[in-house]
Amino acid sequence: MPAGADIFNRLWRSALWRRAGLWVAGAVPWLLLRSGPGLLAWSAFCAWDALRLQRRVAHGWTAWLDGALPEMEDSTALLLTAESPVAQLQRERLLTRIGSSLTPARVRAVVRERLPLGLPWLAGNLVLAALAWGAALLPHGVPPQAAGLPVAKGAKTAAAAAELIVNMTPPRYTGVEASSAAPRDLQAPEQTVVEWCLKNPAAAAETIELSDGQVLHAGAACARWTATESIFWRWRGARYTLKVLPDQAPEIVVTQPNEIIKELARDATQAAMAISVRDDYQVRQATLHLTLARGSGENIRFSDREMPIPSGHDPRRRDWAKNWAVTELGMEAGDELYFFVRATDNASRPHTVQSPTYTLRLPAPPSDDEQDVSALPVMVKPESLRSQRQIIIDTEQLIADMRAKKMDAAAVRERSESIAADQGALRRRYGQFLGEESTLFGKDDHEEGHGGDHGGAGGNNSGKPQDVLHEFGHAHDQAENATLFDEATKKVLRRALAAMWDAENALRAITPKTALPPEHKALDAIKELQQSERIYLHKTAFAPPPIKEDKRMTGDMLGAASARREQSAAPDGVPVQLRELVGALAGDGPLPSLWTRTAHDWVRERIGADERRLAAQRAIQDVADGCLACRPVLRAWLRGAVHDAPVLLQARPQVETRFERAVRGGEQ
Amino acid sequence: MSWLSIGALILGLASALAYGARRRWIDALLGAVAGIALAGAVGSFALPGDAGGTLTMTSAAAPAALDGVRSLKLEGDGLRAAEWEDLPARPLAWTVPATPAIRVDFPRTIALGRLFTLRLERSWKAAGKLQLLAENGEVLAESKGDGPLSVQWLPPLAERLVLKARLLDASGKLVDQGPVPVTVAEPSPLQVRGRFGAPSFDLRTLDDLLAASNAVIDWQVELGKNLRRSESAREEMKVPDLEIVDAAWFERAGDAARNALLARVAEGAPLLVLGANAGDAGIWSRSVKLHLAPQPADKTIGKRLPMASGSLNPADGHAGEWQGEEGIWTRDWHQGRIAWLGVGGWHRHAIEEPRALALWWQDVLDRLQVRRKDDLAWLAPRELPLPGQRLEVCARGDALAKGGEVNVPGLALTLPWQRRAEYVDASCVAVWPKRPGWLDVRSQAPGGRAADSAVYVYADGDWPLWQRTQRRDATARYAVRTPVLPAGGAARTLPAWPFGLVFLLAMLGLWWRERR
Repeated sequence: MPAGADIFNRLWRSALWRRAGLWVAGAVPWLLLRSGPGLLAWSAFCAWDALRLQRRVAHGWTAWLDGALPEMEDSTALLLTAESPVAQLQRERLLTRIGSSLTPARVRAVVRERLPLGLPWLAGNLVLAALAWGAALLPHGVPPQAAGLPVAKGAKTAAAAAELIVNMTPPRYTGVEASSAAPRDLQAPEQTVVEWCLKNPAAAAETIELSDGQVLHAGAACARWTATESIFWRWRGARYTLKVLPDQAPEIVVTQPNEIIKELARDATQAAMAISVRDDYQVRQATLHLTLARGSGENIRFSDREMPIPSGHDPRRRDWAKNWAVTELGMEAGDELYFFVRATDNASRPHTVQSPTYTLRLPAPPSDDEQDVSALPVMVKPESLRSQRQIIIDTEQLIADMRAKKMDAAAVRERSESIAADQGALRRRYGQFLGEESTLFGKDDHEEGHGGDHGGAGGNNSGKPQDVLHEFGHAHDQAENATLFDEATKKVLRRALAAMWDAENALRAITPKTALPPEHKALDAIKELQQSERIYLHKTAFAPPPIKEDKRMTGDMLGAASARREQSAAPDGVPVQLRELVGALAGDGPLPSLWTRTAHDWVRERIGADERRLAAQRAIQDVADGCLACRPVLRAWLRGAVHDAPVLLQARPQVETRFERAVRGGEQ
Repeated sequence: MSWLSIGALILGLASALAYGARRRWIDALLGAVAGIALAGAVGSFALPGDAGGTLTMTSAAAPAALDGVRSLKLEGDGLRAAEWEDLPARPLAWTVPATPAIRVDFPRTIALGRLFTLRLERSWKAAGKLQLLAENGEVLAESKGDGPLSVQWLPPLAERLVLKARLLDASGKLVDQGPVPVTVAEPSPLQVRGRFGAPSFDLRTLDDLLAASNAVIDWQVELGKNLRRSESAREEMKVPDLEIVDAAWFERAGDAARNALLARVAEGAPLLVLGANAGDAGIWSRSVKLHLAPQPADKTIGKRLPMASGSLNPADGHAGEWQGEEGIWTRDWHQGRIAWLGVGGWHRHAIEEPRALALWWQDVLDRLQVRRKDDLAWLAPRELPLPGQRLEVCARGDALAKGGEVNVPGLALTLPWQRRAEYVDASCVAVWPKRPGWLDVRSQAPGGRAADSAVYVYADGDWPLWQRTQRRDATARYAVRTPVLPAGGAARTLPAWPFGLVFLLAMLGLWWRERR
């Protein structure tokens, strides 16, 4: 038996070799076509063929040998089974003979004779591969005839993919490579130039509708659009979203110091700073601004320094940390160091971001003076004011904090009010130079609550206009008599005071942002004063002139007049065009002319989130296409973009019928 | 016994006699039988006694008639009100099913500037979520809870819209949903006359609020003797909807001015007194019977918007004719009404919570019952209008007194208004809407004014659980109607067909005998 198996194996191997050529050759066309299914099918065929081959060899090898080798004496079958003694004898004989007669060359010859190469299979395979190749090529041949014909949807998208190319050229600063793609949902950085080009520029121009209402034509020249916001575009009925990734402003993280106001130890010699700046493309510039404040009360000097933060090997981030020696910073006991980081990215319209202002405070040593002062009566204690500059820094800090982190309303209010108190104290201080005149506060007669203020602190709701006050109010001073300044100085002072008042006003209304401009105005005015003149404070207490009781009690209102004004108009709510449009959308009738522009403007202006805006624009496009069922959807988008729906005080409509009147008449 | 049956009997008798005369006894008998059978067939005879059956009905379809039905047995939720109303009352054996149901309530019409509230009650208690959605699927308002749920939304535009509401269970699975049709109407501007004795931020805030509400304002603030600041109305105002004075003005005004004001109030004008600056309790006690007592200085009233209490306020909620709570006391004054607003300092909320403050003021005005006369009001349908079901469209008001017509363009119908027994002062028409959606209804008001409205017709699958509740309510109402027994008392009518058969057989027998 082993002899038989051995011979079968040799034949089988040889048969495999003979067939392998067919199998390999058959796979080649599919590999060239990169056709997975074809390759798979061919592999399946090969497996089947191999099985068939094995069966043929197993069934026929004895007959093959008998036919090919006369030495076998037609008894090869005995190699498999030999039961009788004669058969076994013959088998022995064969075995001794077979070693010499069955050379590899003869084995190959036997196999060659009995097994075909399978060329018909190969030919069939080649024909199939040619067909597949032709099928893949076919769409390329069709479009010239099919362009003008209505095509089935599947074919259309296949053709669509072939005809239009979207080229995207991102702005150079992003470093993103330009790319082109078939129409599909895409992403691109902001300010990318998007071009829609026809593969075949000679073909008829294609229309591309953008979701913001623009219509582009891609013909011989490409259609061009610069990406500013996420849109979708429609071409041959299919919509593709183009998501625009806006350029992010740099992000500044100050990890050291870990508090906004850091009180250093009294004997500190080191102050640590650790800053990291990050941007999505490149940080172009990052600087650290240091302001050292020295002194107290009115006498505060500032010195500014600015130092760049060095860049590392990654242009997207700058990490910097330093352990400053206090002396290096120039700080002495009692000084305050304010610092913030300003960073700019490399966008075409660069974003500049400023971190909140951090404060390092080196406490002053406990002095003996302080104890002395506290022993004195409170009145004599020197006034401790924050300077206008510190007020500005505080305000900026507050604004930055409000922006940077979610502060609760109470904290904002408290801080804003404390800054307002500082501003108020400073204003009163400067107000002394003008004899605390009160004309600052009643700028128009609507603000009657402030009209009667005097001394500038708080309102007393007297409600009397200015003239009355001057006539018989207790006017301490003839305006501006109280001081010795020349008119120009007084003008500047008045400007400073007015600005301070505005700033305080805004701060008290918890709108620190609007307080900044007047604060700067006040600072400018104060600087102007400092540069022009020296100012002296009153040394004596302020003594108002005696009040003439007889005049005060006369009730003489000469010069005062009643005021009359038109009632104020209701604020403009929703624009008329939009209301008309929404009204028209409620029905099936025609829409107002230019309604798409109204709708697009409204949506762009009011809907911020990309997803929602695109959905709204989709609704606009649907309605423009004549979809009646889409009208309520668009109406909902337009309505949803009205952010502050008004509460209107109104009467409740009441219908009284004859019956009710009769009942009521009966009751009375 | 009708004349027809008597005639038939006479005919039968005559033929029997005729045959008897010829001694054809069998034929005579047949003739008599035919006569009697004919009389029975046409006579609609009734059997005395406790006749009639019990009809077992389902909720799916209403029986066409209840002839011969003595009582009803019902499984399920029952029929809709419109279907029950078409059936005569019969005793009904029915138990309310235990399946879940909900009840939804919202105004079908709301004026712009008012808060739209949708309430939903469930027959079961479990955590759930109610959402109000716009047509584009955006959630406008949402509320969670395990009891009754309600969502509120402030419409920004005057329009007719169909929102959607849905009820979800704790796991977010949909329980029920349906459209919420609302008509947001343009409000008519309020006309206000204000007279004040002292300026304040509060007045300024109120003035701004009214101006922002597009009200017509005639405003005068006394600053001193013969010194006043006034604001002239945008348009001429004949009869203001609302008079506002502050206590200082009332106390300082002369008797003549005060009496003139109270006379105007007596004729129907509502008066709002801002009582925060009251100083003279005697005047109030004498003029409007309002007994004021000093209040602690630091008292505040109100939880949502805390406000400083005035220095003088009524001692408790019920003081004579005055009734009040939360800082507002009101009383009727002949045909008008007076409100005492015993709080001040609302301007403090004007910046932080302008919307809450405006809603609080609207509440004050509503409690004062500031009304605007209108001559036509459309009534909301009592159950969800469905296509193919009878829908009654009702309206009330003087505009209908002349007997006008209703035009329904969607169905190409013009119908006259008809009085209805169940509405004392309303007129109705009945229509059968064909398809879901808005159904415009137009009527003519006096002076050729068009009075339009629209009824939203729901689809059959909308709000299945709410429809269930409405069916149960209608069935319960039907069950308490006084049963009307079938015509002819408790007797049951005899069926006519056996008589007809006997008559036919008798006549055939006669014919056969005659032919032989």
